Amino acid sequence: MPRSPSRDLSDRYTGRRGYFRNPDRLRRGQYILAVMAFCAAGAWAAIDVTHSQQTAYAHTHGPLTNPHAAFDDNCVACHASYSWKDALNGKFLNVRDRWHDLTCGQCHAGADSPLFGHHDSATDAARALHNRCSNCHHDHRGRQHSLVRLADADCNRCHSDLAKWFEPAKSRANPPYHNSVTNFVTNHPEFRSLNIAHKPRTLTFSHAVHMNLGQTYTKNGKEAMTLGRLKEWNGPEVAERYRKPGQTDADQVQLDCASCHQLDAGIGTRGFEKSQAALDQWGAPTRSLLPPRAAGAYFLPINYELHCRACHPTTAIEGQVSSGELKFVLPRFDVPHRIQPAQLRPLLKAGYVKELIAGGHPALREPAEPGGRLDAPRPNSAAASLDTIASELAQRAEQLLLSGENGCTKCHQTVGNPENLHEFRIRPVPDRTVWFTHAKFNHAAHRGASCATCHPGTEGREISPMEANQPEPVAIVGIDSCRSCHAPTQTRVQWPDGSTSRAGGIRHNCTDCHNYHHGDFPLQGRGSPLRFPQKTRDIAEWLRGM
Amino acid sequence: MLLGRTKPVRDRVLAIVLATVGITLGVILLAAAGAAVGLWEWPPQPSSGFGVACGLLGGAIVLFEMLMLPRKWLRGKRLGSTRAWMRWHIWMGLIGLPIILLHAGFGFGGPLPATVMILFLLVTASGIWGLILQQWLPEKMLHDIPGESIASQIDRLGHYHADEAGRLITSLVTVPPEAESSEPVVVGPLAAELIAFRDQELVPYLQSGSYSRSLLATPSDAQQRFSRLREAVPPAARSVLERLQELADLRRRWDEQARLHFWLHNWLLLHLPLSVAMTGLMLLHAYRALKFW
Repeated sequence: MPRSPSRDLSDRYTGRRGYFRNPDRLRRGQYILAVMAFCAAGAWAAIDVTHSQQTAYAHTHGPLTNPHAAFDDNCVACHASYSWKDALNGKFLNVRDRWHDLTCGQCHAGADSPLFGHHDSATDAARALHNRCSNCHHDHRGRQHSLVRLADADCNRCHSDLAKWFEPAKSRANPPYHNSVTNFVTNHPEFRSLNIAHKPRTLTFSHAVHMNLGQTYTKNGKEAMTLGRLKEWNGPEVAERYRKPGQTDADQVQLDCASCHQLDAGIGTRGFEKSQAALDQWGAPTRSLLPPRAAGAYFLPINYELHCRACHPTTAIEGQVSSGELKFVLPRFDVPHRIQPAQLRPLLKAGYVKELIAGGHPALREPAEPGGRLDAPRPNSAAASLDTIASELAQRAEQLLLSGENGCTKCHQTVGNPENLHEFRIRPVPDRTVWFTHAKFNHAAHRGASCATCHPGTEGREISPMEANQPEPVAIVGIDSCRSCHAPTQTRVQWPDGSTSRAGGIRHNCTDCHNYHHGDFPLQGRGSPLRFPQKTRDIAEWLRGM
Repeated sequence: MLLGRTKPVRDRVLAIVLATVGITLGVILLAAAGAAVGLWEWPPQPSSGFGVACGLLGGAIVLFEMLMLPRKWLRGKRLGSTRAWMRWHIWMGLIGLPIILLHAGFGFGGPLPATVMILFLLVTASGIWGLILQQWLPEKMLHDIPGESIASQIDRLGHYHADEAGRLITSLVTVPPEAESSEPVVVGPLAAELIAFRDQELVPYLQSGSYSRSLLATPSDAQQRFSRLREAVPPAARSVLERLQELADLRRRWDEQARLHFWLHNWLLLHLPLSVAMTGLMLLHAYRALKFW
């Protein structure tokens, strides 16, 4: 009987029916590799668990930024600690909240301060958002990542629709803030500081005149200021300050921007707050005090004594006094600046009396007559005489100072009736040391540009006295000039002559100009005590994240 | 696993690709729609509630996928049909891809999450690659390799056939004790050539296949060699030579089968070990991510 093909096939496996139990090379390879992979993963896990601190970095999103580099493998230095008991109240799966529950306050202060917030008018939701530092300050993005140079998206969470995040009733902004500002190039409004309608200039000053040679209206105009005149009025030291190389006393004074505008020293005024409080207490101006700022970012305030007085002294006129055949000439004397008209006359009178006494007025030679016990007191005729003379002189000097050509009103604007000195007042000069109070601007960073590029109209030119004696318009060009550099390169920039070019491509993120936490405001800058932690630590504690 | 066995291979491969892309995009679009109506944020954050939920779901899917391994070890326990397990393995694997991508927020994260993510993507890709190969190669084997054998037994069967071939040639050049004739079928130089052919070409080829570097591995060379021998031997020996040629042809087909079998299963060299490593590191990642400091 012939064998069937099936039997023929099965005969091949006679004695080896369990062949399938023995894996072939391919399957053996799978298992060997699987065991190796299992061992590798197990080794990783074992090292991870037994050396948790050294391996913590493996679980992060990346290296910490430079100032936090010491904490790369020390999670608890920044992340709040939890216990297993917290698993019971639902925090087990709330990983995001847990990981973003940070202890920034150990090293950074301010989050608890009422002055630290962004806007007083923020809603509770906005405050909650702001109180979590990591909502905007994203770490674990590499050593060079900046925690304060944020992506626009972080700001746009609120500023794309601001109405959701603030309560208008609490807002002090006037006019109100724009509801949607998402990009500097496309929809950022014009700088509100440039609109000074609600706080107009109260000083008559012409940059053009002061930048002209000799501070004249026109070329070779009359009464040009020469170094000789400066020397005569103020002494040689002041003349030297304005002397250019090679100039003689006969030469006219040529000012430049830096003659008056000097960059801040960077560190601000030592003991800023105490000094400010003291000056406030005395009613003295505080504009010359500076909060700590970035070096060279801003120009120091213009100061009368330093920048104006050399050419525009406030002095009482000479007094001509005659007594019999004797004639006195009382010299000019300085009158304090920064006083109101009502304070002027007593100061002038006192000044003239002082000069009369110093000059030995004849009335002072009259002996005082003794009065008897029962006699009525006799008037002091000398004092009465000096008082009369000084009063007359002071009245004339006051008139000249208040309404004369070179008096207060040459520069200052006034309110009230000059006849009634109790109402008549010099209008205060607004403090515009920092124009962009909601942003930062660093003049030193832009030193390559000529001043007049951004401040048109401040260069010297011929100007009519009528125009020169009007308050100047704001000499700061608007946002478009910023955008010519701070915009993507594909943006076209149009110039006054009609030509175009591409924009500079320089960064234009929100945080390139804006500080958060009121960082550019007095009291809240980087050196502010509000930014100091409640408890300082030594370096060892700091490095250990304790 | 063979999907839609009545469909052409191309359609089945296309279906796998479309299913992968469709499921991935579909789940992601669904998640995006949820974000659009404010259910969660977009792009998803790994540590957000939604991200953690995706992570837990994805982790559960991975653990389910890994059950294939113990199921294989315990196949005698009747834990459901292989086909059902494979079907669930494939579908859950495809669904797991977008869920894990959502969990990761389409990123990689730090060193450990990145390692887990890369391993997961490699495992998924190797699984899809294996699934595609399984639609194509078995059918090719069915058509191209008649007499298909058990791949793991090819070398042993080669030895079995080598023994048979050796016996057949010996029977031609020697006189068996029970034979009626006193003369072998093949004598003289031809017998010597047959013996040399057996020892130097045929037996090594049958035993080791193409690794023997024999000319018989090439069909045209083998045909030429056997034709010449058939013409040279007496008619009584020709049936033996035809059997020898049949064995050589079978070995050639089995070599081809072994090659295809390697490609049919080699993706598992990647899929299985990486799955094991990925699962281990995933558990570590989950422990660390959920750990309370």
